[in-house]
Amino acid sequence: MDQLSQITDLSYLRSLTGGANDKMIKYIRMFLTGAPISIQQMELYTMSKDWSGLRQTAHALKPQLGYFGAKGSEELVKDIEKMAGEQSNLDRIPVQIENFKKQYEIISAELEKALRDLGN
Amino acid sequence: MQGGTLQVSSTKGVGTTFWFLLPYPVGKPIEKTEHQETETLSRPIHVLLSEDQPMNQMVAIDTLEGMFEGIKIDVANNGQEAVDKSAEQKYDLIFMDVHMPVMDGYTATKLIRSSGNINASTPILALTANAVKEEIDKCLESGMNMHMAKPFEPEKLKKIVIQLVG
Repeated sequence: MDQLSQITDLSYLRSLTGGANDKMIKYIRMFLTGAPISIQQMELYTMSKDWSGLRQTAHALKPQLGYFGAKGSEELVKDIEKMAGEQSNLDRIPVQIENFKKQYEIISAELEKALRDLGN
Repeated sequence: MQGGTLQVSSTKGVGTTFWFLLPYPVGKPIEKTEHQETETLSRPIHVLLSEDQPMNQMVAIDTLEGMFEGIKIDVANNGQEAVDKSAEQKYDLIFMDVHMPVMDGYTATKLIRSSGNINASTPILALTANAVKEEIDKCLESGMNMHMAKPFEPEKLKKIVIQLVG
């Protein structure tokens, strides 16, 4: 994978877990299971204009991206949370969700690779 | 003898006293390092973790268990559960997420503080993903003691826990 296009950075996770592979694997697996559900929920909340639900889902997803050093994606989700919370720029929300979905494709590929590197 | 002197004084039928003098320069006071100050707690603690997100729960539990031997952690999945659990069990510290379903952390904190129950004065540490000033102020106004942003730095968390509980 091209180092320049790398979205994730596992140094925080490594520090958090003390480099314990089993814990790193556990967190990565948990994220890869939960994040697609969060994305789906964000889309559903947007379609039903449930801005409170959208804000809550984005808020919960945000720190998880931080665990994997995906700072840019974290900012993107923060933007979605802010727009939903303030109910402002609502037309931009679907665009930002699409942008995040594209980033998530890269994130998940990077984390799957990390799992293989960690021997899982 | 390292530049010192050894002396003896003896009185027949009374006893003998030995003493010595060793010349040493006056040392500097030992300063406690940050590491020493935050090393550990003197006793196992029982805490309540109020957090709705499973991964955040797991990260917090793993981190706290790795830091504090014998720590007991109860989990509340929302603010209402935090209020209910804090009415039944005395805790040394309550970790409070701010944005939770059913009841948010601000409301839960206000209810715990005004309850007059066993945890009315228990330290409450806000753990939230927003580190903006308005949110930190709101945490403190609701009755929380301190604020920490997620994802947290483990060493900083350890220091704060010891500061609040120790």
